[in-house]
Amino acid sequence: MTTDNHELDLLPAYALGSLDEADAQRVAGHLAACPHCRAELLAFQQVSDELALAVPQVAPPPVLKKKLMDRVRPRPAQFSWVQRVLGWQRPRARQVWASASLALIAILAVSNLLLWFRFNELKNQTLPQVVALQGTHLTPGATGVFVIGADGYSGTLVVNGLSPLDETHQYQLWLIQDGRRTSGGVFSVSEKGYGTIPVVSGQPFDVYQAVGITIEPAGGSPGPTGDKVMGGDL
Amino acid sequence: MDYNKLDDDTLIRLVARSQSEALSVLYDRYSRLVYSVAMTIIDDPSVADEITQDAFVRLWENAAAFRPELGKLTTWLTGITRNRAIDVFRRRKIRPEGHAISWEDALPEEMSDGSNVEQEVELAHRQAKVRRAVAQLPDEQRSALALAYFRGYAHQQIADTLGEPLGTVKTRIRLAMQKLREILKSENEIIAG
Repeated sequence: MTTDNHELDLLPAYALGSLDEADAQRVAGHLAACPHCRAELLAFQQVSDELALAVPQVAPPPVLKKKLMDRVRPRPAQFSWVQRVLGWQRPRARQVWASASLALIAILAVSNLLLWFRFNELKNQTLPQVVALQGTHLTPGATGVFVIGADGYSGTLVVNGLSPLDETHQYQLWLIQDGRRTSGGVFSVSEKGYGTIPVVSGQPFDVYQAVGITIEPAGGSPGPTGDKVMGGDL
Repeated sequence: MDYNKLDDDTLIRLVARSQSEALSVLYDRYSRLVYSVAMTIIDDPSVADEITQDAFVRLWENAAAFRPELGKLTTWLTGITRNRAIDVFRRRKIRPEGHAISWEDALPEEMSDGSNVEQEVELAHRQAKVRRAVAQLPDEQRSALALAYFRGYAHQQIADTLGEPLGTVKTRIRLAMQKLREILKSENEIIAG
């Protein structure tokens, strides 16, 4: 229900994540442009955050702490001569190599996919579809491509320039058909803003008119609830 | 250094420097809360074990990125625990009647094991405040709120589960949250005053 051009009645349920998809989308769109509703939402979000304190208390088994500490206790590092040459014993160097490796893997994955498309193109004269994605006003420097495989049911999303999110949030891809959003998967990006995920659809991608990416709680949402950061028409 | 005397923010900074003793203290402080959230949602001790461990491992691995000015550690821990547990609940397709969900009415005992008394008392006060607030809600609002919070259900699913009209469920959720907001706000003002 809209009250004086605001969405005040729906904000409590939005904070709980219990709005149906259409309402959640409408509220998300309104919030992007309404500081008053954003402030109201923050107040209800604080209520929602505190609700965990009202659960019946159950003590974890004592052995659980030992299991946790065994998982996190640092082990003495054993580095090969190759790792020492690469500076692997330094955390920063490991991060750089990890980012470089991730980027290389993504490039190789896309290259392989494109090679595979090329092979199929030559074999079946079927062209792959490569859709360019653009960042929104929140992410003007972000870019991406969505490559749809020759079978029409599988594809790969590659994004660049998105900000890494905190641990409680992930990006979520949405496939949009007649206004309905179907999740295409959740993903995170590297420190340099690079990310890629394979996308498999239960129906051919040509039934969808567009794709969008939003910020959602880690693990994803049933429908979009966060800010849209990228999109493109199929 | 006696880690037990340190506040959460200091301990998180030490966790970010791979001080496992700091994580051990935070675990002692909040594992009961985290485990309780997981058990309330999923009602399976082995899964609750795994979710609790994962929550603290994520804290161990991401403490450097934690920004206390954006929220309390308890909010961060219970948030990722709730999301993960609801995700498991959905994947398992557990029937709604599979186990009962409820709010705790009893007030927490303010007991100290000799660690950081200030932090324990603060948590106990917050728990008591929220439980008093939830206890003031009518039963039908508490039930609808529990399905939204512990199940992650949308309005229509709550209406189907309770056998109530959609509009009634929407109203109950809205009124419950508005009343909780008012009660918590007035309690905060009383404490501040």
